[in-house]
Amino acid sequence: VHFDLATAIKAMQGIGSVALQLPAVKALVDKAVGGLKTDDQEKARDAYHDLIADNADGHARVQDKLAKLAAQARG
Amino acid sequence: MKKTFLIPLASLALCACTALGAASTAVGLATGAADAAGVAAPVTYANHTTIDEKAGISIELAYNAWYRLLELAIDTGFVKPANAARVAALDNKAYAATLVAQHAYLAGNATSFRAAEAEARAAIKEAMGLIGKGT
Repeated sequence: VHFDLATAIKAMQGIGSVALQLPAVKALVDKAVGGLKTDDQEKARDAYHDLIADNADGHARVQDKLAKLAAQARG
Repeated sequence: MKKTFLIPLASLALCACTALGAASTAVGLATGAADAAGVAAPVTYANHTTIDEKAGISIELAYNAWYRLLELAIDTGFVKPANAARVAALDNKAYAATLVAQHAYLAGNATSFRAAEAEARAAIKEAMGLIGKGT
């Protein structure tokens, strides 16, 4: 694979941003998995709503980043 | 090198898709049994059950894993500007499937959950294929 310093730097920044999110991501996923296993509807509903909120934020964020990339392509 | 750190996240997204299938099977079994008896499935029309939340969680988990993989791919330069609009459209398609599932949840409609699950799975699979090719 072709090594490229700019890509390597971007990769480190990307991994850094993911690493910062890890505890929050773990808590979210743990709660979701708990929601899949439980028969307690309140717990399952709570986990479902947390995921919905996180996905709405995440979707908006990636769409914003993709729009900026697409704008670069248009020059 | 880039693929090395994307693989764990891709695995996470695929695992989420597997969970998606398991939950939809549970929903399908419940409705299928009722269909065989010639009556409407209780899960389709009754108030919410934990199956509703679990099907919803599975779909949302698959999208969650997908958007995190996509965000990492964007942040690390894996998504080329020329392909950004195409990837954005696929992400919108996958997210739209989660919205369909949310509406199905509010309506207590298990059939729509299955349709949303299929949409989400197809969109995520197509988009992951793009990233796997170094989009």
